[in-house]
Amino acid sequence: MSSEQLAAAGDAVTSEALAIALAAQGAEAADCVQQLRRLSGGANMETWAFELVLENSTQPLILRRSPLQPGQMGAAVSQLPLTAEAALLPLAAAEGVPVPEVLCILRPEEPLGPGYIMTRERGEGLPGRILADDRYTAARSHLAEQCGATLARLHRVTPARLPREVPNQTLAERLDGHQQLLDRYGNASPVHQLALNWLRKHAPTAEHHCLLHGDFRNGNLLVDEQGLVAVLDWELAHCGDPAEDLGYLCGNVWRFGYSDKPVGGFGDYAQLLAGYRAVAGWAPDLETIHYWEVFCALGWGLVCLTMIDLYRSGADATLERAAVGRRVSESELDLLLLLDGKL
Amino acid sequence: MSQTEATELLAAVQGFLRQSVLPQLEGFDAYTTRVAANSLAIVTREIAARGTLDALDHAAAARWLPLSPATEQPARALGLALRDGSLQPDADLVSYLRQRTLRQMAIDNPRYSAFKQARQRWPEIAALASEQGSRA
Repeated sequence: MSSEQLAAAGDAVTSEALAIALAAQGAEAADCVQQLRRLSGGANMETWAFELVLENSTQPLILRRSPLQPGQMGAAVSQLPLTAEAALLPLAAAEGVPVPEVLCILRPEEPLGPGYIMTRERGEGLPGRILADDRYTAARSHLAEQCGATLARLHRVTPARLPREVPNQTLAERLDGHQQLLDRYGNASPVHQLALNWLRKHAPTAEHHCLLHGDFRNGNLLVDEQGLVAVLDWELAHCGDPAEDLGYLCGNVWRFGYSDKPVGGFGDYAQLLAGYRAVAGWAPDLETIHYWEVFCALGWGLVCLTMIDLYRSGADATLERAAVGRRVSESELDLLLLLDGKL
Repeated sequence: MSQTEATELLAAVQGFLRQSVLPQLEGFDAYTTRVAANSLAIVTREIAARGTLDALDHAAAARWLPLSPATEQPARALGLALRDGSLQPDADLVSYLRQRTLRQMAIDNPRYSAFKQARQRWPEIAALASEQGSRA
């Protein structure tokens, strides 16, 4: 999308509309909302940054909104409504997970809805900088441990406490869903089919079932010189085996080129599991982590296939979507490496 | 001389994007322009390598699905045979899948971290995958 298209896509988002939405926070007029700008994003998800300027304070905020209803986009795109996503952040915060504070939830019938407004946290989010800049050397040395501890805290949230829209499927149901997607997208990859067959045959029995972030990886984490500052992007949250969140963080696609550091390109398995064990009192074994790395690699392949579908259907006919669709072979090569010696 | 070759046009547009357009842009438009130039590089590599990759897939379908009718989509046919269980992965089939994926990766993104790792782990398959002709 060009910057003109980005700006045009969110016609409803104005300083006036935001000031009305934030009246309870003390916004009295449009000039309380300043430096409004759209950050990058797809056709379905809009992320805006702005400052809420009151008499004695200036607060950096984020608006997340989705002008389309869930279901209007491809099937592998999140089905979690933004209003339910917003309800997860306080639950995670109560367990000690660092997340933005949700200031107001925008219902679908409101002019800016569905969506929510939250605090804009400081910290670096670009994986390239987190993995390479000297200023994050100390942070990198214990980030894997912090991630393990943070996930253990999140995993205390039981399914019974969640909004009913949060997906809660068995592993077998999810693998069936993956097969349906492979079928829908034309069964083009024998490697994807091989991997899915392997995942069915080697499915672990999970002793725990809890809320998962679902996209807990470098790129969705804010980091400062001391380490983890905030966990963002909760749109793929769902219930499942806690080992999934740990294995996902180790997926090669999320190591951003630093393949020798299995945890996000910055840490080792032992650090991640030690951090998890220190909080949870237990940790998954490496074989189960490996299983979820395979699941993650296939999932990335399905995301790429979905991007091709969004492009071809015209739902989001942008160069970005078409180009990500060419990254299918990354998932295939990751899968063949992961399954080497295990078939 | 003949008319401009398709690959020459692709190279010329890439040069235009990278050298003339990109320096004038920043932020999201600069990013997208890099994606555009990179996409043309993928097309250029695919023009050179597609025929060999297709021949490899057809040879694989002929070998592992000898009773099936000829198909324009041999990789799909192999995937469907894996799906219904009529084809089980043996070592040779896995070798073929590695070679085809290495060839596809050489087109799509030869800088992907796993590409180097895979060629080191499977040197014989990597040697096959870098040949112009195909041998399963």
